[in-house]
Amino acid sequence: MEPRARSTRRNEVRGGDLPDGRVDLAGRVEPDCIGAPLEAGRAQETPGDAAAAAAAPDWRAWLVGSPREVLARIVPGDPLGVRDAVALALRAECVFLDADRVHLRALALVARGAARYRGRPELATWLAAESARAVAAVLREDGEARREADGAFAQLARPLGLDPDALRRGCTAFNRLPAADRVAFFALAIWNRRLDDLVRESGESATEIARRARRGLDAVMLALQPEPTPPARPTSAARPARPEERP
Amino acid sequence: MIPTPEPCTRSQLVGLLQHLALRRPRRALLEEAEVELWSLYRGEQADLVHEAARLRSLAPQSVPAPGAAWRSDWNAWRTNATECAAACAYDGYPIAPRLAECLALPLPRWPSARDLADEARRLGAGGGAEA
Repeated sequence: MEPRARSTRRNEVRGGDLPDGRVDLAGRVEPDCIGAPLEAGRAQETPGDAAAAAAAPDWRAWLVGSPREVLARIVPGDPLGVRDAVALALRAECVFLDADRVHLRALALVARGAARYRGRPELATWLAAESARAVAAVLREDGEARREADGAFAQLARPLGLDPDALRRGCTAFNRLPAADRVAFFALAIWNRRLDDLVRESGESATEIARRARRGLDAVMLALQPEPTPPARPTSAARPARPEERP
Repeated sequence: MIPTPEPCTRSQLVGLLQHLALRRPRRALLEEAEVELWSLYRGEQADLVHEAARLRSLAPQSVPAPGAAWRSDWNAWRTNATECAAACAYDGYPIAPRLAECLALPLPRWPSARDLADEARRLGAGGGAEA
């Protein structure tokens, strides 16, 4: 089965997107964007077809075939909105990760899991779950020593004179903090929320929220510290002279 | 001793992190996604070979008898390995030689548990999938 005509709506810059490819998290990524191409496909259906479509959901148009065949359908133009799902998953977890890497992993997971997907849970929920799996997988791998010359950390760090590995260390340390600490730091430092608003919404004291955010700041500040090196062995010039060496 | 200059200030770092956190993934290329799919397949194969090593060490001389405690593990492994190998073959990705041997041969003729464990490590079992 070939996919139906693809809508271009998904690829337009929406209110939540910034021109440079970032997503404005103060604005919302459209939660209903997952259904856009499916609705476009239904536009040409007759009422009888609509009943048939309800019985045979349109996800079949995209998620049939082998994983590689599924990839060939869902990558060009991102008809399922995996990018949006990944952006939402990263926002929900409040972590610093290479979004492109998470995106690629989510695409692969969706393609691999497509054969087992039978329409339940609904597509948006399933994509959110696969995106969360991708976030978890990349978080696990970030604990390992990975050095990518052209990774997102390197591209972002170098203009500021930061060591990419140091930036990664800071981000990894932050990502390992309890969720409450990460949320507090994101709210205050990344989303620029007001402390008073957070106090009112969370019911926590301003001191506690600030303390949590401070722990987040302490973790990311590792990015500004040089890599810890093992203590150097004393050289012959540095160690005290042995009695037989003394003049 | 000349102090090392601080590469950037705290506010610059926070600005950088804002950029990192708010950045939407760029559009992916199909070729990149196919490489990532291979990475996923490889990780699955690593886990399957790792499990094969465990099964091999449980009963090196025979397949599990009906009612054996690990019979369900054996059945699950057969199902998953067959599905993974079929998907890899259909998509044109290679299958790890040890995994192919395990699928083609009866359990008593499988590679040794040690060989299977070595292969699993080589493929990246336990450390996530790496291409």
